[in-house]
This record gives sequence, structure tokens and C-alpha cells, in this order.
Amino acid sequence: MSILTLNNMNVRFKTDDGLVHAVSDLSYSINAGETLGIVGESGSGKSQSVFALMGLIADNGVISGEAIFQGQNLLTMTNRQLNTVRASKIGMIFQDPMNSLNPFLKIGIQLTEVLQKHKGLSKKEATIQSIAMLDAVRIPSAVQRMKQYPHELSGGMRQRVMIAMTLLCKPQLLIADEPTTALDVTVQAQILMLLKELQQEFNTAILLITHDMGVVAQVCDRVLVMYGGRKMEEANVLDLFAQPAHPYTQGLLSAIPSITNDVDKLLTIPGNPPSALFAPRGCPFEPRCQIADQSCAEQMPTAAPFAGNRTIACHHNEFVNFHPQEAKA
Amino acid sequence: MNSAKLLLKARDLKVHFPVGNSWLFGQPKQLVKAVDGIDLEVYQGETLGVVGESGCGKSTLARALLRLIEPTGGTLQWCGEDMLAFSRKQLIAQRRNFQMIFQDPAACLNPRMTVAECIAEPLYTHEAQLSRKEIEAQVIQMMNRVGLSASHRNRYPHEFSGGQCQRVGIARALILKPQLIICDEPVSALDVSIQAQVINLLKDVQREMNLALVMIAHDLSVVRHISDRVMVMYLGKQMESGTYQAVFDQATHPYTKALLSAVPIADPVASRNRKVQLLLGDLPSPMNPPSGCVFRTRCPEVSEHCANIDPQFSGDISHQIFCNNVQL
Repeated sequence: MSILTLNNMNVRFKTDDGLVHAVSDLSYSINAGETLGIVGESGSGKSQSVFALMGLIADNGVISGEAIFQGQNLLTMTNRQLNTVRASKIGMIFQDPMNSLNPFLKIGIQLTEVLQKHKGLSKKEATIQSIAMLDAVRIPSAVQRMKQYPHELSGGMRQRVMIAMTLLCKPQLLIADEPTTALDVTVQAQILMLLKELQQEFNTAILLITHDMGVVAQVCDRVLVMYGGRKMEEANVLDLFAQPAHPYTQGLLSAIPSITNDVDKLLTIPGNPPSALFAPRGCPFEPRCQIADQSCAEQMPTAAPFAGNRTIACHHNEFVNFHPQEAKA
Repeated sequence: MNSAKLLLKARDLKVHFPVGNSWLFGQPKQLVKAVDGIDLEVYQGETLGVVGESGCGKSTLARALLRLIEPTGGTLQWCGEDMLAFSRKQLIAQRRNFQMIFQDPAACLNPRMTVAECIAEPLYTHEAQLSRKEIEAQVIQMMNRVGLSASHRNRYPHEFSGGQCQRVGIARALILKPQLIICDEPVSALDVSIQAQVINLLKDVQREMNLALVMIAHDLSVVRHISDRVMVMYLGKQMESGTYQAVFDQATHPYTKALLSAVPIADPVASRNRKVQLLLGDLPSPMNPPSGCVFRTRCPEVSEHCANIDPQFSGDISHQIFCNNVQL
């Protein structure tokens, strides 16, 4: 059952330099208990696409399209209406756990506040539930931690507090924007495993935004690849890694050095990512694509079903391996 | 390997920072042992990778190897000469042989200089006899070499993307034709597709110029890809080192094993089937490191004597570890 469905969402920013096309024509849906990964490089619009859902877009942003969550369109809600959805039904974890916690307030106050505000619990009940949740995210000596300030905790511990805070109201959807990017690999592994366990326990859908293909491979069920504000490919995680269909996905996967195999030369995507300021008429990947032709420069390919249950946006939608790997000399 | 020239040799290198001075002639209350007894050699034409989590002292080590931070103990030799005995003048003269590439490509370029001036600056210091024409010719040649269009030489750093700025940083480090370059997280600020371009460039110029590289990085797959030998650090100490095959394919130290198993691999089938050795807890404070083996508080194979005795050395130059419970 789909709990969130996006239809043709656009996010534009009016700036002095012109209109910035941050997200164009984005559609997807996510089911209960599922993990959908959104991957892309910096500037691909992956973060802005979820900020738009949560009403967190800057003042100069213009949003169109629809995002249906439990029968309501999130994109047309007022702030007051959004406040009944945010935190209680959709939770969000941000990249930098230090900047998302209030440095002046003790952890306990920040946690119990959520329950008092959204569930109307008394302070005493809220405290009991908060301590239970800190235990659930494996924070040792939770009772003492409630009395500490954010700066007294390590980065991994702060991210656990953020996760605990988000899960207090048992949201149906959890949006995680680069939740482990600021953390070390050993701590990242702990947090990813924790998210998976909590997902099974609470049947939460997770929308995971990341630039790390390794993280995607480890935790996601389905993957959506974005480039230049658009969806390039959407597929089941196993299919995507076994046989990437879009030339950009292929390039992205072959540019990652392997930890287990020797490769002499990494295959690269030539050129630089596009500027969102000058929206191209055709496919945004066209200037860097090896198989682009005239039609790619003139017309944006529409995202179309391809080979069973995937979607790709490419005029050349057949399986071709553009990037054969060479062995290490 | 050993037929190549030995460029840099460190023995028992230490960098201790005093913290918590009392405001008037007090003794420092505590020492942060950022780098604590590191041994390493760098030979001509090879790449030494240094990996570890944040706070393990790898960046401090990089700077100490060039005396950008003065080591507080141990010895450091450059081509057989005692580098710590160099006078300031000698050190500056020698710096043309060892250069550095930094993590944040935009922050390490002067925003008020054009990229041509940034790249040419080392020549003004070290080759003052060159004419303007000769300098310009060298800059253009170097820009072409690192994949920058020479027609952009009068632009300023803010007009370039992150990947291009890193190419400027590489050009600046290469222009004096050094023998050693220390790269401190050279690609961690870049997107994957750009990261691969920069790694390939570093490998190519290394082969052409017979350069030695010291590659400091937290991304283990990047280190595996580029390194000949690898050293794993934890809280200022060496845990395991050896050839990249030894460290990555036959990892023996419990920390290396845990670190490797925590790295997400871009293959959903393999990553779901493997056993992850989760480390518990966080990195201890370097101000107050655990006694004995510094890794013992998170070690899955810890035993009682780890708290009392320093880890034992075992192995040889191609693969060595420091551990009380596991021997090579």
C-alpha cells in the first residue's frame, strides 16, 4: 500500500540570476515498511525534493505538482495543517546532528517536548516514554543522558538522539537526509543497522537520501537516481546494481573504487554536473553522455516503464553496457 | 620495492599537544597524544595510504611529516638527512621536494589571486631567476597537464567547480617537480564522478614523474585503489600496516577487520550476505586514552591483559600488526 505518492512535482527558486530549476517533473511512490533510496550528486535536487514535502523550502521557492499523503496534498497545506503531519506522521532526520539539536536545552527537554506537544502527554509520561525510546536506540544509561546537553554527546550519539526524537510519535514515514554522511564508517554501520531494526519493529517507510552507493546497496529496497533535478532511473535495488540501464547510473557505479577488487583505472564521467540555472531543453545529462545524439539535446525523454518494473528517462532505452571495466595491470 | 630510493623515514614520531594551560606560567595540565610513536618509510614512486576514523591523528601525521607541525618526539629523515635538524632556511629550500594537497580545494586557494598566480606562486619563491615568460609557459603546460583549459588561467578560484579547484591545487603542488606529495583527503569533498577523475589524474602524474604519494583518507575503497602500502591508525597509534593486498585481503588486526566490514559496499547481494563486525561505542577521547592497547575498549577480541601491557609487534615489512591476542 502506497503511503506517499508524488505526481509531477517541480521546485523552482526565483533568484537574482534567474529561475533555478531545482526539481523538475518528479514522480514516485513509497509503500509502508519500504526503504526508498534517492541518490544523486550534489546539486541534483535530492534534498530540495524532500524539503518541499515538509514545507521547509526557502521563501523564494515555488512548488507545483502534488504529493499525496493519506489522501491529502502536502504541497498545498498551510503551515498550521502541516504541523499536524510533521513529526507526528512524517519524521525527518537531518545530516548534521549537532545543528539539528538545540545546544541550550537538555536532551530530555527536547525529547519530552515532542510528546507533550503532539500527543498531549503529561511531563511524567513523556519522560518515561522518552527514556524507553533512548533505550530502543541503544543509548547506554538513558536516564543520565536525559540530563545532558548535546555538546556532551559524540556525533553518533547525537544522531541516535535525533532518531529517537523522530520515532517518538511513531511516524508512518521517516525521511532521512544523508543521516550518516557526517559519521565515521564504524558508527555509520551502527546507525544503519539501527534504522533497519527500528523499521521492522514499527513498520515505518523510510525515504533515504544519500550520495553513497554503498549505503544504498546495504539498506534500500528500491532506488531512484536523480541528475539535474530529474529522475533518471528507478528500479529495485538488486536490478539496479546487477544491470544499471541509464547511462548516468552506469557511469556512477563504475566510478566507485572497489574495496574487494583491483581495477587499474576508474571509469569516469567526463565534464562537470550541470548548473540548475540554465535548464536545458533536452536531457540534463546530454553534455556528459557518451551515447547522446541530436534528439537528446532537443527533447527531454519522459520517464517510461522499462524491462519489467523499472523506469528510465532515456531516448536510448535498451540495455547496453557503455562502461566495460578493465582489470588491474 | 626496496631497490627504490628511500625518501622519507620516520621512527617513533610523536606529536603531543599541551592543553589546559593555566593562564600564568603554569604547566600544561594534559597532553593530547595526536600522533604517538609512528614508524613509516616512503620510497620513490610508491603510494602509502594512511586510513583511520576522524580523530585518529592522520591529518596531524601528514603535517608533522612536512614539519608544518613540529613533531615533539622521534626522528624524521629526508633522503638520509635528519629533517628535524634543518634550519628554517634549509627547510624552506627543501620544501620544493615535498608538497601537499589539501582537503578543501576552494579554501586552500587565495580568492584574490587568479589561478595562474596560484599555480605560479611556488616558482616565485623557489625559482626566482625565471623570467615572466618562462613562468607563464610552465603554468600553461601544467594547466594542460592536469586537465584545465589554459584559456581559463586569468579566472579566479570562485569561477571554478570543486573538482577544477582541486586540479589547480594539484598543478600548484606539481609545478616544482617534487619527489613527494602528501595528499590530505584530496577527494573527500568531491562528488563520485569527479572523485574518479581526480584519482585517475593523481595516478597518471605519479607514473609520469615517479612521484611518491602519501594518501591520507577515510574512504577505504579510495585508499585500496590508489595505494601500494597501507597503514591503519587508531587514536594516534599504528594498528596494522603492509601491502594493500595484505591489509585489505588478509586483514588480521581486530580493528582493521571491523573497519573493513563496516564499509558499505556497492553491491546489494554481497552486502546483504556478509557478516558485519559491529564495533560498539565511540572513539575514546584522545585526551584520556585507554591504558595498554588504545583499541581495547571497543575490541571484540579483548582479554584482561590488554589493559596492562602495550600491544605486541609481529610480522615483517610486508605485513605487520600490533596486537596482544593476534599474531602474524
